[in-house]
Amino acid sequence: MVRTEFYNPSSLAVALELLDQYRQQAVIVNGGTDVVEKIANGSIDPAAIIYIQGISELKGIGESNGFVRIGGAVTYKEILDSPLCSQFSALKQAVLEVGSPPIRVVGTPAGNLGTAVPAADCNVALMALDAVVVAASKQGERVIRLADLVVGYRKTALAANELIKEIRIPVVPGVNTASAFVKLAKRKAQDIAQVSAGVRLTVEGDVCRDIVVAMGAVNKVTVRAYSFEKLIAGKKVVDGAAAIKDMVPAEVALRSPGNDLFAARPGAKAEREYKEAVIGVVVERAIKKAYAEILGGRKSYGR
Amino acid sequence: MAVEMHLAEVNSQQIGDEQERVSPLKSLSITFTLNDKTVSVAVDAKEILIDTLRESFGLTGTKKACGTGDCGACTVILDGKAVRSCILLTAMVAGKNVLTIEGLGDEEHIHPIQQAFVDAGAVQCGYCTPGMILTAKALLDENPKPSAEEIKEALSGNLCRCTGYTKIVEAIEKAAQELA
Repeated sequence: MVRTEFYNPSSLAVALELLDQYRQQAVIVNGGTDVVEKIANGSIDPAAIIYIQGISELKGIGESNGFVRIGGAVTYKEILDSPLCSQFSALKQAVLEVGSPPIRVVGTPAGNLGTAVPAADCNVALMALDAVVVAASKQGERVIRLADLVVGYRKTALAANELIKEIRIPVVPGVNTASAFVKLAKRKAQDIAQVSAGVRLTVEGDVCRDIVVAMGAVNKVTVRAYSFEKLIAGKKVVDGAAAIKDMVPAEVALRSPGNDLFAARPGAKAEREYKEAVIGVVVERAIKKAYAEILGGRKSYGR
Repeated sequence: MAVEMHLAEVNSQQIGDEQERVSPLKSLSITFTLNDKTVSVAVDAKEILIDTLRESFGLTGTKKACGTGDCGACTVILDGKAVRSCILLTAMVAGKNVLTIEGLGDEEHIHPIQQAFVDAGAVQCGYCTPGMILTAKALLDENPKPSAEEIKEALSGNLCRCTGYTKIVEAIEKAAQELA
């Protein structure tokens, strides 16, 4: 048993210095809702635990240069309480699906991205909202698109000495854009998604001018369903939604050889067939939910 | 200045040095507020809060069940919010305020939420009860008049395998009236 050092740095510079020294020997604890369990049961045994909730530079939600910026140590509860985040319906709807209220008090979206589980609710909503992360290390900062951040099951493109400093969500002003998140799970509360979808929809009249579709639990990584987007954009929203309802987008990988997440497991076939049967429907529901918000908003503004 | 000092400490460590790595566990001293008293305790960096509460402080009202943050039996209140003590490292609560069921009330000073659970018959085997009561406490502190739906949402991470939840929701409604 190795002795583990616990660090509670109060500044980002110190945290990055520690990460740079310990590299793979360190584990970052943010909310800890995923990683503390692994530390406690011994499945990971780091030389250093770097707890980042005390770093004020990673706290807070602000807006600048067309982005809402969510600090790397911001919790789910803080997002729910944030007036700035209330414009992102998909985000709020996804956050409300994460665990239970006591998990949301400590858990963080940045931690969820770092953990990189394909069923993670918030990651799907963030991808639909076209979010990026700012990764910081002692050497500097870089911006990473979500599609490039998650590279495999529980694997990210982050270097061992990097942490997620910030999540940036572009602001899309106007009453013609809305977003939504839909999750299909076995239970109402505290369940992992069978299939989830996040959508950001922009319309012109009743026509889809722009759409982002992200999906969870259908591949090793959170996927952006570009093939669906192409099918829907330019069509009337209702026609676009109907067109994809019975389809499986090309980005879904439930049958790929070597996809150990879904293959060669008891019940995998039923799960795969079930997922394939509902994928289009879940996306259709997300589109309709976002569209309903746009139509509802127009009504409330008397249009 | 504090940063520089911390960095100096970090730099002075011999990472990977065997002498350093095999030195005694429980080397961290953590100070926090526990049930309204300031306490200090020696812990290992990997020690979880529920183990510290039960083993170092003898506060066995906090129950250990799933160990994964899913069942709510280990709920404590941290800085006013219900949290899971099985997925918190003790070192994470340094300087913070922790309330366990023992700090809420006892037989001589029973808290209205505890009394409401007794009156409503909301306790069967009792294993989930401390977590349920503390979750209710955090809810009522934030929202003194919750609807039944809001109570169910607050309890959505607390599992009870005996009662079917109806009497627990009734107890919290009663407690809300009592505390109003």
